[in-house]
Amino acid sequence: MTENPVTPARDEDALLAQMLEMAEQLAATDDALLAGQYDYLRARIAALMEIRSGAGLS
Amino acid sequence: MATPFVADPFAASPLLRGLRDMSREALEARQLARVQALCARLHAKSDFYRDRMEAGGLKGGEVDSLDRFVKAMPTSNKADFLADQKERPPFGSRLGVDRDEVVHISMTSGTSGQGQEIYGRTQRDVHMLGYLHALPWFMGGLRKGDTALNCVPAGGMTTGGWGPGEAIRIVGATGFHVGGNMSTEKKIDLMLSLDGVHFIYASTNYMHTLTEALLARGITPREAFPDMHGLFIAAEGYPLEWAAKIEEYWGCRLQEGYGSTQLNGFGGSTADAGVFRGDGRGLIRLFEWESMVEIVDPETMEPVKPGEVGEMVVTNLTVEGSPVVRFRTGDAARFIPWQEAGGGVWNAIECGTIGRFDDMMKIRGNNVWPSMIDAAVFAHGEVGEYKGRLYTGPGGKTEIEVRVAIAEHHAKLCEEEREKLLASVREAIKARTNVWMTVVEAPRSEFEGFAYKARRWSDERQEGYQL
Repeated sequence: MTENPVTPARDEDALLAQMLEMAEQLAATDDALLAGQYDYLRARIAALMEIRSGAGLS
Repeated sequence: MATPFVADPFAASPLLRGLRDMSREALEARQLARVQALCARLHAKSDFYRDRMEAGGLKGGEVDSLDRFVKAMPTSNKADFLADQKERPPFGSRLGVDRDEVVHISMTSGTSGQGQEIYGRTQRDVHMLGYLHALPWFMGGLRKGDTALNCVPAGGMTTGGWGPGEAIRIVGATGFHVGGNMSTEKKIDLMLSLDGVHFIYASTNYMHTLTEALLARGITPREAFPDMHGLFIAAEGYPLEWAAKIEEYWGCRLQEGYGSTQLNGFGGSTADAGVFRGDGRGLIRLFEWESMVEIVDPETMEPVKPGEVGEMVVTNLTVEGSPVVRFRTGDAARFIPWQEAGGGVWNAIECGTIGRFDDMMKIRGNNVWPSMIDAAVFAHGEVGEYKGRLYTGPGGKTEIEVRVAIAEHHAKLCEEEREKLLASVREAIKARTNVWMTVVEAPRSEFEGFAYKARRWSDERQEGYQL
């Protein structure tokens, strides 16, 4: 089995960064009913990134 | 009747357009797929529902058609849920998800006196709770950036305590949750300081109280809040004359929704159409892709015919924790099938007349619902509030006293005008109920507790049966 070169902590940062990028794309929707919900999703991901950065994990 | 412009929600949302434009076949196919998934999950994870499915003949939780589902799946009611909770506290065996997935509690209010149902909700359910408030409010005019006033008490353990906050947040509006923690006068002061209010959510009764208090201060709502584009009420019936006056005072369309703890929010609303249809009552269109709503004769359990009043029996299609499956709500509504609802494929119920089968009063041989008397009394704009009492008079005869308070902005009525008003209210009640009632004036101060859900009627007849 090949060892994963990325540490778990770095992996979570990368996942969150990818998710944030995707959520930002979603938040640009032209659907006004969904726009606020996508923005809420984007904000939750951004908050998790902020929480991790505060602990020096990223 | 004012019919101000409401920004077309369907033009603003491809999701909504898809739901509006789908065929009835497609809608029912979606319902069936969701019922199948629900029954399969509950058969595996809920003793309560597994036993019912097996008893009804849905072996293994398999459902092959909606018709078979409604014929085979036994109904449940509040008493069943309370017994289940007592046996397996706190959630009963109907939870349907692992205990550690429960992150939110909704309880019924307990006003029935029978006990409180408890519902354990998951993270996904909490989002859906917000969405099932946001959906009707978006259709009723709420938009990102709006200032919204929520006049229903926030927090606690009720669905109505948390749904509005989640909804306003996920729409991207700014919510002022003023219900239950601020006097009406202080709410008005706050509203005047906000540099614009765009949306108000309130019980029917509180919309009345707030409007009356504004008028008593000499404030015309449409002038003080010219940006208002959504007034949304729920919980209680009202006469159309009252709705027309509310629209006129506010210069804004009035919308209504039907919701409950069992539905995890709203199960239908007037969308953007308002509470009128022509000069008559408008329609609450049901969100049938989120919940299945059957409207049945409470005696025979057969579907009622178009235009008839029946009991609503609901099944959640998108709830994970403590879902209801063919739950008898006890709520009475007039059924309007989608073919007669004037567009779209969503079945509907009539606005402003939803009642409770257990609120029906048998008075001198007549079936009388409080909503009938609400309609008669509040058709008079001079009335601020009222309450009624049934008691046993001399000779064992049922007597009915209706105590009416004059609205503060009509406090200057002279004695003759007051007498004429009381007589007119009495005539209107007789016309709607076939019962003569005694109507007397009461001071407005008798009604200070009437804010969220008004319970206007007390039945003291048994107290009079003394030998």
